Amino acid sequence: MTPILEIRNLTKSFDGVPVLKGIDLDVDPGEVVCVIGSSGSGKSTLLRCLNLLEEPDGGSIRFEERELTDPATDVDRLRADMGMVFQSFNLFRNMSVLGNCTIAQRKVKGKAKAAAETRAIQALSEVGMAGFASQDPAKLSGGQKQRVAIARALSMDPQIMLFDEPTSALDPEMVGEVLDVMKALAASGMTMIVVTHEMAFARAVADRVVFMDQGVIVESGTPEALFLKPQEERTAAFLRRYRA
Amino acid sequence: MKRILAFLLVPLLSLSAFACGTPGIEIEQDNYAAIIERGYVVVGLECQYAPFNWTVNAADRGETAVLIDGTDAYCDGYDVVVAQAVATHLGVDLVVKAIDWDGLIPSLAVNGRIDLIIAGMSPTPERAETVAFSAEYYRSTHVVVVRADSAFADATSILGFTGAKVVGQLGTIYDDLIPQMTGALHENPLSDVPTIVTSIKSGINDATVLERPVAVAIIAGNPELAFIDFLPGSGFVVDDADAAVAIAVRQADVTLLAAVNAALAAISAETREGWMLSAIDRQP
Amino acid sequence: MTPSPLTRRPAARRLWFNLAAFAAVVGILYALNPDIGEAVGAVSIPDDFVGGSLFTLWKYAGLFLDGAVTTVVISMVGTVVGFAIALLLVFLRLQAPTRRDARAMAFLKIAASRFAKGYVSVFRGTPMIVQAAFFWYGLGLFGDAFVCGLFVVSVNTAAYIAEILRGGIASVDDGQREAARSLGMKPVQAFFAVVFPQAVKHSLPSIGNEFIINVKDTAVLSVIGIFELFNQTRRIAGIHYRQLEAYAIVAVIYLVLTTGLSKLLSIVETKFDLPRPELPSSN
Ligand SMILES: Nc1ncnc2c1ncn2[C@@H]1O[C@H](COP(=O)(O)OP(=O)(O)O)[C@@H](O)[C@H]1O
Ligand SMILES: [Mg+2]
Repeated sequence: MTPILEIRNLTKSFDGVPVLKGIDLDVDPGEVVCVIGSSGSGKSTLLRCLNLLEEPDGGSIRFEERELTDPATDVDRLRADMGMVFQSFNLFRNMSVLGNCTIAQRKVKGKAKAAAETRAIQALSEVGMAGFASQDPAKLSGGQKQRVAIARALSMDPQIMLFDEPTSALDPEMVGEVLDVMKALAASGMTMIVVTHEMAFARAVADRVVFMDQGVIVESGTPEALFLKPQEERTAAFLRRYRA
Repeated sequence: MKRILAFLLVPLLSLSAFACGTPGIEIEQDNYAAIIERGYVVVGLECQYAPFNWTVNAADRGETAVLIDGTDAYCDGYDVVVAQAVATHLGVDLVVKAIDWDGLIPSLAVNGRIDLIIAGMSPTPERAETVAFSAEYYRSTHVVVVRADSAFADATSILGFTGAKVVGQLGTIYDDLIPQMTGALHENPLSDVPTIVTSIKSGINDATVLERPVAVAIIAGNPELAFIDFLPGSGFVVDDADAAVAIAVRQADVTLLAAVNAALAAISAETREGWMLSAIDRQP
Repeated sequence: MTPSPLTRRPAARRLWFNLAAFAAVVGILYALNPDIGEAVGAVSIPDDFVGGSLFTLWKYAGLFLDGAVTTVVISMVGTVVGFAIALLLVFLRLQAPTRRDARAMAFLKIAASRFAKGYVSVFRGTPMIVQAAFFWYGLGLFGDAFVCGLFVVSVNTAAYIAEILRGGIASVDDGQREAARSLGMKPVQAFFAVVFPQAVKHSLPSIGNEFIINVKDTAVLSVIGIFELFNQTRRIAGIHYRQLEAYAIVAVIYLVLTTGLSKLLSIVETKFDLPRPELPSSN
């Protein structure tokens, strides 16, 4: 099987400080990859480089057979195929829930209003938010906001979904509803890269877990292998801190 | 994006459509034919220099008042009556523009927004470098205005103002005459006569120099003020040009100047004095 | 948004307070000059201040009204057109070359941004009275002082509103733009569909303040002979050579205009749930 995403020797530094020091990672279609690691290890930067919210310094990212770092590539076109879910939701404050889920369909894909709304309602149903379509996002709870954000990304029919700590900003009682949505999405065959601190979720859902530290991938493997028999001392130390 | 641009361009373009001086006027040329052709002559004055010119409500206006261009108010006074006579002589309509004193000569000679200045202006040699003047259309004596209860109210000579703070209007003969009042303090000039009047009433200044008809008009609305006439020999020594007021035209407008002079020549000295008296009378 | 009963009560109290204050002013006027009818009916201006003021107000109400209308119209049109020009200015100002731009494009973007920056510096860094005199007497581009005045207020206000909008744009969380971009929207689409509407909403109260500032600051247009409220008052003062009375009246008119308009704006702000306005500043 050809990987949908191939990352080779990706590097990125901020003000001369290297943050990603040569990342290699392949993701197969339908695969769920969870990225774990302590804060500041470069997880977010990696995700943001994947859809070029950050411009990488070097290396290559092939997505759907196209080289993302090539200036000739239409990045906007490829971004539409990569759904991104942010820690802080970033729902558009000037639009209703439905508007959040239709605006990109209409602007980017040129869909008619009715078609965009049909797709949006479908996506909102998948996350259990169809009843809130006409609401102002500001009036929703954190968990509801994040579910709408997921529906917004799904409305674009992406090939891959990127999650950057989607539950870290939530009150504990709302974490479950969001993780349930993500589990269902994984079960439906969606390709996903999930940066998370929810180890139970990673263990239950991930096909592969990647541990990052100080800008490099230290170790990667199946959840069982990585969680039960870590090969590297740094991984073991990180996991000990989380179990404690 | 396109809609936004259209939103921006419409007002800008409609602004630039106005971007030119009065139609048909060329500063460097004789515009007589153009003015006759156009059918109106544009006269500039302050409309705050009674009894030569002042502003009046539509409701209170007399027959002599003329609408001030660009407003709903009217302008009346001796200058307006003269302006009307000149326009009638030229066979055109009269358009009146209210312009601050400082702006009168630029509006005539630089921008061409007006054709004539009929604003109680004296034909001084300095002004004559920029504009041409007609024959005089009024001549008056100069008086000093003071508070009626001030120590200077009893002065009988212009030398009787030692220590008085005397102020004149900026850029006028009044300001130039103050140095003749030996011993008086020559204050920085102010921009218009109403402001000078206020400054005397409030005690900031003690006196000012004005033409007699203007002083008469001021006293009418301000009984706490008084003006002093001087006997020959104890008053101001005034150049012939400074004692008179005349109509200013652009230097290139030779034909217009001749026509204005012809119009003025047709007004007798008695008619003039009658016009001035009734202007003082009409002044509210 | 319906006001809660708790906020309603002080508002009612304020109304009573205002009415009482108004009654007091009328009472004092009445005590000073029992014969208002005589003052306003007089043939020539009464000698005292109160009588002179009442006479001036009564007799020249139409002229004051003309001036006030001109002032409000110039301020309003100037603010609206200024807003339109400001849109163009911020658009230029925010141009920044990216790594992917060709040389010529990068140069154009830098030039556009510099131009907008320079424009704002020039118009905020020079007094409006100088700008008015420059365009009217200096350049002589306009045949009509009113149009020139509209132009000056518009280009001047544009500089201030451009800065307000730039602040409004900066205050929009960058996550909004990133979310839009992550969905495949182009920079211009993300800007106009997501960032800009939020920025404008944040900026509206300050833009309203610019309108009120314009009501006061357009007084300087008297320098080019527009008959806005202040210039009209100068002519009125010249009729009887009585400035004190005319200026006292015009001060009250300006006060009524500015407080009335800011009240109106705050009602609109509450209605549209806009953020609280900043403290009014003067240009
Ligand atoms: N825009 C930025 N400018 C400068 N430094 C940054 C920026 N974004 C991230 N960093 C730095 O890069 C490092 C990795 O950050 P990040 O990728 O957010 O880590 P993680 O998501 O694993 O917590 C941190 O030291 C962070 O301070
Ligand atoms: Mg992070």
